[in-house]
Amino acid sequence: MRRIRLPTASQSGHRTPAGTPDGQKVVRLQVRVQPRASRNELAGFHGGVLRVRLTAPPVDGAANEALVDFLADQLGVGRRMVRIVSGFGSRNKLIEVDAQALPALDLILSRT
Amino acid sequence: MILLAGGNTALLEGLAQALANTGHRVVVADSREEAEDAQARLSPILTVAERGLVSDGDPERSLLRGTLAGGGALVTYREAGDTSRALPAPIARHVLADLVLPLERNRLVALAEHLATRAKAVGRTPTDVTLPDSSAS
Repeated sequence: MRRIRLPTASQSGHRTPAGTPDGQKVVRLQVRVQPRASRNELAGFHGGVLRVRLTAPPVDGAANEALVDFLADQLGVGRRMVRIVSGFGSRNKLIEVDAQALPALDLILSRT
Repeated sequence: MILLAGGNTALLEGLAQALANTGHRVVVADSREEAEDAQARLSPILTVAERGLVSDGDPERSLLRGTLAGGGALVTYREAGDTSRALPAPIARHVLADLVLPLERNRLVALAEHLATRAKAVGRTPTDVTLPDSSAS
Protein backbone atom coordinates (compact mmCIF):
# COMPACT_ATOMS: atom_id res chain seq x y z
CA MET A 1 0.00 0.00 0.00
CA ARG A 2 1.48 3.35 -1.03
CA ARG A 3 1.55 5.99 1.68
CA ILE A 4 0.46 9.46 0.68
CA ARG A 5 1.24 12.59 2.65
CA LEU A 6 -1.86 14.55 3.56
CA PRO A 7 -2.05 18.10 4.89
CA THR A 8 -1.39 18.36 8.61
CA ALA A 9 -4.61 18.74 10.55
CA SER A 10 -5.25 20.30 13.92
CA GLN A 11 -5.70 16.91 15.52
CA SER A 12 -2.85 15.02 13.95
CA GLY A 13 -2.49 11.47 15.10
CA HIS A 14 -6.19 10.61 15.13
CA ARG A 15 -6.00 9.00 11.75
CA THR A 16 -3.65 7.14 9.53
CA PRO A 17 -3.25 8.66 6.08
CA ALA A 18 -3.10 5.89 3.59
CA GLY A 19 -3.79 5.16 0.00
CA THR A 20 -5.66 2.46 -1.81
CA PRO A 21 -3.86 0.38 -4.43
CA ASP A 22 -5.40 2.49 -7.16
CA GLY A 23 -3.84 5.62 -5.69
CA GLN A 24 -6.97 7.07 -4.13
CA LYS A 25 -6.23 9.08 -0.97
CA VAL A 26 -8.03 7.83 2.12
CA VAL A 27 -8.10 8.56 5.84
CA ARG A 28 -8.41 5.86 8.46
CA LEU A 29 -10.09 6.42 11.78
CA GLN A 30 -10.64 4.21 14.81
CA VAL A 31 -14.25 4.17 15.97
CA ARG A 32 -15.92 2.60 18.99
CA VAL A 33 -19.61 1.96 18.48
CA GLN A 34 -22.33 1.73 21.09
CA PRO A 35 -25.37 0.05 19.54
CA ARG A 36 -28.96 0.21 20.83
CA ALA A 37 -28.42 3.75 22.09
CA SER A 38 -31.30 6.14 22.53
CA ARG A 39 -30.20 8.24 19.54
CA ASN A 40 -27.56 8.51 16.85
CA GLU A 41 -24.81 10.84 17.98
CA LEU A 42 -21.09 11.43 18.23
CA ALA A 43 -20.16 10.76 21.84
CA GLY A 44 -16.64 12.11 21.99
CA PHE A 45 -13.14 11.70 20.69
CA HIS A 46 -10.70 10.30 23.25
CA GLY A 47 -7.33 8.67 22.82
CA GLY A 48 -7.58 8.70 19.08
CA VAL A 49 -10.87 6.85 19.09
CA LEU A 50 -14.17 8.36 17.99
CA ARG A 51 -17.13 7.13 20.03
CA VAL A 52 -20.40 6.82 18.15
CA ARG A 53 -23.80 5.97 19.59
CA LEU A 54 -26.26 4.28 17.25
CA THR A 55 -29.86 3.27 17.73
CA ALA A 56 -29.46 0.24 15.49
CA PRO A 57 -29.05 -3.18 17.15
CA PRO A 58 -25.90 -5.22 16.52
CA VAL A 59 -27.87 -7.81 14.60
CA ASP A 60 -27.31 -8.93 11.01
CA GLY A 61 -24.96 -6.03 10.33
CA ALA A 62 -27.59 -3.41 11.05
CA ALA A 63 -25.24 -1.40 13.26
CA ASN A 64 -22.51 -1.50 10.60
CA GLU A 65 -24.92 -0.18 8.00
CA ALA A 66 -26.15 2.48 10.41
CA LEU A 67 -22.57 3.50 11.21
CA VAL A 68 -21.70 4.03 7.55
CA ASP A 69 -24.92 5.94 6.95
CA PHE A 70 -24.44 8.10 10.05
CA LEU A 71 -20.80 8.97 9.36
CA ALA A 72 -21.53 9.72 5.70
CA ASP A 73 -24.35 12.00 6.80
CA GLN A 74 -22.16 13.74 9.38
CA LEU A 75 -19.38 14.22 6.85
CA GLY A 76 -21.74 15.32 4.13
CA VAL A 77 -20.45 12.77 1.65
CA GLY A 78 -21.91 9.78 -0.09
CA ARG A 79 -21.96 6.51 1.81
CA ARG A 80 -19.65 4.98 -0.79
CA MET A 81 -16.89 7.24 0.56
CA VAL A 82 -17.10 5.64 4.01
CA ARG A 83 -16.04 2.04 4.47
CA ILE A 84 -15.49 -0.32 7.38
CA VAL A 85 -12.03 -1.84 7.01
CA SER A 86 -12.04 -4.11 10.04
CA GLY A 87 -14.09 -4.88 13.13
CA PHE A 88 -17.32 -5.96 11.44
CA GLY A 89 -18.21 -8.10 14.44
CA SER A 90 -16.68 -5.87 17.08
CA ARG A 91 -17.49 -2.59 18.76
CA ASN A 92 -14.05 -1.34 17.82
CA LYS A 93 -13.83 -0.66 14.12
CA LEU A 94 -11.38 0.81 11.67
CA ILE A 95 -13.10 3.17 9.27
CA GLU A 96 -11.75 4.40 5.97
CA VAL A 97 -12.95 7.68 4.54
CA ASP A 98 -12.02 9.22 1.21
CA ALA A 99 -9.64 12.13 1.72
CA GLN A 100 -12.19 14.35 0.03
CA ALA A 101 -14.02 14.38 3.37
CA LEU A 102 -10.94 15.46 5.34
CA PRO A 103 -12.13 19.03 6.08
CA ALA A 104 -15.49 17.79 7.30
CA LEU A 105 -13.79 15.12 9.40
CA ASP A 106 -11.55 17.69 11.04
CA LEU A 107 -14.57 19.84 11.73
CA ILE A 108 -16.64 17.17 13.45
CA LEU A 109 -13.65 15.91 15.46
CA SER A 110 -12.92 19.40 16.69
CA ARG A 111 -16.52 19.75 17.83
CA THR A 112 -16.69 16.44 19.73
CA MET B 1 -39.64 0.65 25.44
CA ILE B 2 -37.22 -0.85 27.94
CA LEU B 3 -34.10 0.94 29.11
CA LEU B 4 -31.09 -1.11 30.20
CA ALA B 5 -28.43 0.85 32.06
CA GLY B 6 -25.12 -0.49 33.26
CA GLY B 7 -21.44 -0.86 32.60
CA ASN B 8 -21.22 -4.45 31.37
CA THR B 9 -22.04 -4.05 27.69
CA ALA B 10 -21.86 -7.77 26.94
CA LEU B 11 -24.37 -8.59 29.67
CA LEU B 12 -26.69 -5.79 28.57
CA GLU B 13 -26.57 -6.89 24.94
CA GLY B 14 -27.53 -10.43 25.94
CA LEU B 15 -30.44 -9.10 27.95
CA ALA B 16 -31.42 -6.76 25.13
CA GLN B 17 -31.61 -9.64 22.68
CA ALA B 18 -33.69 -11.72 25.09
CA LEU B 19 -36.13 -8.83 25.54
CA ALA B 20 -36.15 -7.95 21.84
CA ASN B 21 -37.13 -11.54 21.06
CA THR B 22 -40.31 -11.00 23.07
CA GLY B 23 -41.25 -7.93 21.04
CA HIS B 24 -39.85 -5.09 23.12
CA ARG B 25 -37.81 -2.21 21.84
CA VAL B 26 -34.70 -1.94 23.95
CA VAL B 27 -32.34 0.98 24.49
CA VAL B 28 -28.99 0.53 26.21
CA ALA B 29 -27.13 3.20 28.19
CA ASP B 30 -23.65 2.66 29.57
CA SER B 31 -23.41 5.67 31.85
CA ARG B 32 -25.57 7.43 34.41
CA GLU B 33 -25.83 10.60 32.33
CA GLU B 34 -26.91 8.74 29.22
CA ALA B 35 -29.42 6.69 31.20
CA GLU B 36 -30.97 9.77 32.79
CA ASP B 37 -31.17 11.49 29.42
CA ALA B 38 -32.79 8.48 27.78
CA GLN B 39 -35.23 8.03 30.63
CA ALA B 40 -36.28 11.67 30.52
CA ARG B 41 -36.79 11.67 26.76
CA LEU B 42 -38.24 8.22 26.15
CA SER B 43 -40.26 7.45 29.29
CA PRO B 44 -39.62 3.69 29.27
CA ILE B 45 -42.12 1.27 30.67
CA LEU B 46 -39.28 -0.53 32.41
CA THR B 47 -35.87 0.73 33.45
CA VAL B 48 -33.35 -1.95 34.39
CA ALA B 49 -30.42 -0.27 36.07
CA GLU B 50 -27.24 -1.51 37.68
CA ARG B 51 -27.37 -0.95 41.43
CA GLY B 52 -24.52 1.53 41.43
CA LEU B 53 -26.32 3.81 38.99
CA VAL B 54 -29.29 4.06 41.33
CA SER B 55 -27.79 4.05 44.79
CA ASP B 56 -24.75 6.27 44.21
CA GLY B 57 -24.52 9.92 43.37
CA ASP B 58 -26.87 12.81 43.86
CA PRO B 59 -30.29 11.58 45.02
CA GLU B 60 -31.88 14.68 43.55
CA ARG B 61 -30.65 13.71 40.12
CA SER B 62 -31.15 10.01 40.01
CA LEU B 63 -32.88 7.35 37.96
CA LEU B 64 -35.24 7.07 40.93
CA ARG B 65 -36.62 10.47 40.04
CA GLY B 66 -36.70 9.81 36.32
CA THR B 67 -39.75 9.61 34.14
CA LEU B 68 -41.39 6.30 33.43
CA ALA B 69 -44.35 5.47 31.24
CA GLY B 70 -47.68 5.07 33.00
CA GLY B 71 -47.61 1.79 34.87
CA GLY B 72 -43.86 1.59 34.41
CA ALA B 73 -41.36 0.32 36.95
CA LEU B 74 -37.71 0.43 37.93
CA VAL B 75 -35.72 -2.76 38.40
CA THR B 76 -32.19 -2.87 39.76
CA TYR B 77 -29.68 -5.62 39.20
CA ARG B 78 -26.30 -6.81 40.31
CA GLU B 79 -24.09 -9.30 38.57
CA ALA B 80 -23.63 -12.87 39.68
CA GLY B 81 -20.77 -12.97 42.19
CA ASP B 82 -21.47 -9.50 43.48
CA THR B 83 -21.78 -9.98 47.24
CA SER B 84 -22.92 -6.47 48.06
CA ARG B 85 -25.58 -6.09 50.71
CA ALA B 86 -29.28 -5.61 50.19
CA LEU B 87 -30.53 -2.35 48.74
CA PRO B 88 -31.07 0.48 51.25
CA ALA B 89 -34.69 0.65 52.29
CA PRO B 90 -35.40 4.08 50.70
CA ILE B 91 -34.28 2.71 47.34
CA ALA B 92 -35.87 -0.71 47.78
CA ARG B 93 -39.24 1.00 48.19
CA HIS B 94 -38.94 2.42 44.70
CA VAL B 95 -37.92 -0.68 42.79
CA LEU B 96 -40.08 -3.50 41.58
CA ALA B 97 -37.32 -6.09 41.95
CA ASP B 98 -33.62 -6.45 42.64
CA LEU B 99 -32.30 -9.16 40.33
CA VAL B 100 -29.07 -11.08 39.96
CA LEU B 101 -28.24 -11.10 36.27
CA PRO B 102 -27.82 -13.00 34.08
CA LEU B 103 -28.98 -15.76 36.46
CA GLU B 104 -32.47 -14.27 36.74
CA ARG B 105 -32.81 -13.32 33.10
CA ASN B 106 -36.03 -15.30 32.71
CA ARG B 107 -37.50 -13.46 35.67
CA LEU B 108 -36.62 -10.16 34.04
CA VAL B 109 -38.30 -11.19 30.80
CA ALA B 110 -41.37 -12.28 32.76
CA LEU B 111 -41.48 -8.94 34.60
CA ALA B 112 -41.26 -7.06 31.31
CA GLU B 113 -44.09 -9.17 29.88
CA HIS B 114 -46.16 -8.57 32.99
CA LEU B 115 -45.72 -4.81 32.80
CA ALA B 116 -46.51 -4.72 29.08
CA THR B 117 -49.58 -6.90 29.55
CA ARG B 118 -50.80 -4.80 32.46
CA ALA B 119 -50.25 -1.59 30.51
CA LYS B 120 -52.22 -3.07 27.63
CA ALA B 121 -55.04 -4.14 29.94
CA VAL B 122 -55.50 -0.62 31.24
CA GLY B 123 -55.12 0.98 27.82
CA ARG B 124 -51.64 2.35 28.24
CA THR B 125 -49.83 0.17 25.74
CA PRO B 126 -46.89 2.08 24.31
CA THR B 127 -46.92 2.14 20.55
CA ASP B 128 -43.52 0.48 20.30
CA VAL B 129 -44.42 -2.66 22.24
CA THR B 130 -45.65 -5.59 20.20
CA LEU B 131 -47.19 -8.12 22.48
CA PRO B 132 -47.21 -11.75 21.39
CA ASP B 133 -51.02 -11.89 21.21
CA SER B 134 -51.50 -8.49 19.61
CA SER B 135 -51.82 -9.94 16.11
CA ALA B 136 -54.66 -12.23 17.18
CA SER B 137 -56.97 -9.43 18.22
